[in-house]
Amino acid sequence: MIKDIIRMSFQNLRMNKMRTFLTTLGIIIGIASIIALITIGQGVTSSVIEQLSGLGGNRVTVSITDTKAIPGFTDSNLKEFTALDNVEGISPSLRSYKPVTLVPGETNSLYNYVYTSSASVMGVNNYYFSLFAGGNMKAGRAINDDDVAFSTHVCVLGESVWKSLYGNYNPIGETIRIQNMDFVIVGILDNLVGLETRGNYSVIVPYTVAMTDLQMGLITTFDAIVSDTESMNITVSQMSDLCADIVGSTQGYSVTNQQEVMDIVVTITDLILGMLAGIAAIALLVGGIGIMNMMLVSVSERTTEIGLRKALGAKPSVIMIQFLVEAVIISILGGILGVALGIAIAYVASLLIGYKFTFQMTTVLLAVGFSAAVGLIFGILPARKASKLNPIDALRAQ
Amino acid sequence: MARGTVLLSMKGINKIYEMGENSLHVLHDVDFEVREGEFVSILGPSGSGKSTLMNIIGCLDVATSGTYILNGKDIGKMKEKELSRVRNKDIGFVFQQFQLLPRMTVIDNVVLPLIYARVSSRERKARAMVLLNKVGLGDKITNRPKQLSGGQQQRVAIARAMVTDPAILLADEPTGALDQATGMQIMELFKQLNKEGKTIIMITHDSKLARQAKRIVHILDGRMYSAEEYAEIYDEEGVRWEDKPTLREKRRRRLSDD
Repeated sequence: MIKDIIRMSFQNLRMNKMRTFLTTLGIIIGIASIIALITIGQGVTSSVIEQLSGLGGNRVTVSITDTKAIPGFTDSNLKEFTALDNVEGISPSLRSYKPVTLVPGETNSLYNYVYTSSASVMGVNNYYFSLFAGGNMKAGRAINDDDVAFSTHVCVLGESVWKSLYGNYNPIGETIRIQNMDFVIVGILDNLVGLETRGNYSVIVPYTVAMTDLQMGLITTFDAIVSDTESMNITVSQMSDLCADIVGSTQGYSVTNQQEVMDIVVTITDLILGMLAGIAAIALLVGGIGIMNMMLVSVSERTTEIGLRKALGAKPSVIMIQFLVEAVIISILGGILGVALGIAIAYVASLLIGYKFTFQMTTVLLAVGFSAAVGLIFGILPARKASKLNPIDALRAQ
Repeated sequence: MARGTVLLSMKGINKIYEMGENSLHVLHDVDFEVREGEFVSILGPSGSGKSTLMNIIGCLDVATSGTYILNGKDIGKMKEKELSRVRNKDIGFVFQQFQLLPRMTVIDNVVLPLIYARVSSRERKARAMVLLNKVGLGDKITNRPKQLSGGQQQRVAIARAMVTDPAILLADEPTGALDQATGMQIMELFKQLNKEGKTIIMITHDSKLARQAKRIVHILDGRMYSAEEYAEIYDEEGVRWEDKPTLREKRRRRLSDD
């Protein structure tokens, strides 16, 4: 019998094509906006997360935030962090502007005059290269552990520094003078892209040399690389304890897990998404009221028909089901069209904004299910009204 | 008097409508019996209570008091759901305005009661075809009601009423919307169906039409009278004998009018 009811419902809806379409439009707009917002939101979020995870989920950033308490970490402090279980290594960094001089002579074959400039000097260790350049060098080698351990006077040029000092010439083996000390150029850093690009504009030296010989002060911030991310929380708390020991207070430092930053970003985007979806849900609610309105009109228009059906033996429940089915057909129809429209909007938006377009089947099923539920909920009142009509009054209504 | 078994039996039926503080006593102690194979007219003017009686016979309404047994079932105690089943299986309605669903084809209209009876689609079609052929519309099954004449539409309605093979065919002013000639054709169809054994109850205000049936009962002011009882109380125009002015009074009135 349900098959016959569905057939009759389609017959009824076809009779009032324009009205059916306009009612469906309410649901189409509601579902389309929900789908578009969720799909765009998911795309943007996953793009942001992708960029963030380029920073590494296995990293912990440790900083001294109150340099009045202590000026920074010493080299022996850093060794304590390195000695922690689960810490694969640490990547400290120091940065300062220093005079850089090219002295003509046997150590400088390019220039035949003294050239002095102010340049950014960075003190790092080998992790800097693996973290930000993926271990890639344009030429030569990176700063290695030995350079750090023995405070060797070597340097690596960032791409921009290399170009401005040497043009396209290979500078490896040349000497430059930083402050008043000579450094041998051992490599050129590959061009950095992403969030850390300072290296491109810097002369990079072992951090131990920067701290001592170049007197660039203590380390105020460094990244630690954790080998097992599962026990990240334990490592973070160990690092906090260590910081507290060094600073001598429970304040004045920060230990931040990149994962936490990522979690915060995800939480915020989820929140914004939820709000947007909530607004879109209001559109759907209005669509639902549209269905209810149309069904109520339909019930009063078809009073005689309902009376007749009852006289011919339709039980109240059958009448109720018939009107519910009509409401649900409208809303599912609107749901399917809305999903298609929403995905189309999201696809166009992905081309315009430039994020990666993806959509999940669960979203689609959820949306169609949701629209069916809207039809069911807003169809109940008119359907009940129809099922309770007294057949005598209904037949007389003509 | 027909000799079949009693199909319909009403005893002491009262119908009272409560309307706020007033109550309207529409049917008074109606006793009514119909046997299998009868063709009965219920004749009465508008406001006599015949529509209310029809609604009760058709199980669209229930009596305030009294017992009503239809086809062996006690209707008075039934709930809406059971009444639906009785309307579906035991009664075939024929209405004055045909009451065909305009969106549906002729055959879809005819099979409608069978859908509610949960009869399989194939059997529905077969049964509807038999009846549509019988009423002479076997070639119009895919037409919409609007494409048919009034008489044809009423024939479709009769086919629909017959399709569940109900115990009683209940016709409410079945020729009221038709011209005289077409109305007579419909009456001939009823007579033929009755001849084939169908029990028919027809409600009408038209005494000429009522006389087409084998038996007439009268209803007036909510009370039911057999033809014999009625003839003792009322004249042919429905005026009480006792209310009629005597010849002497008539003469006196004519004089005073002058």
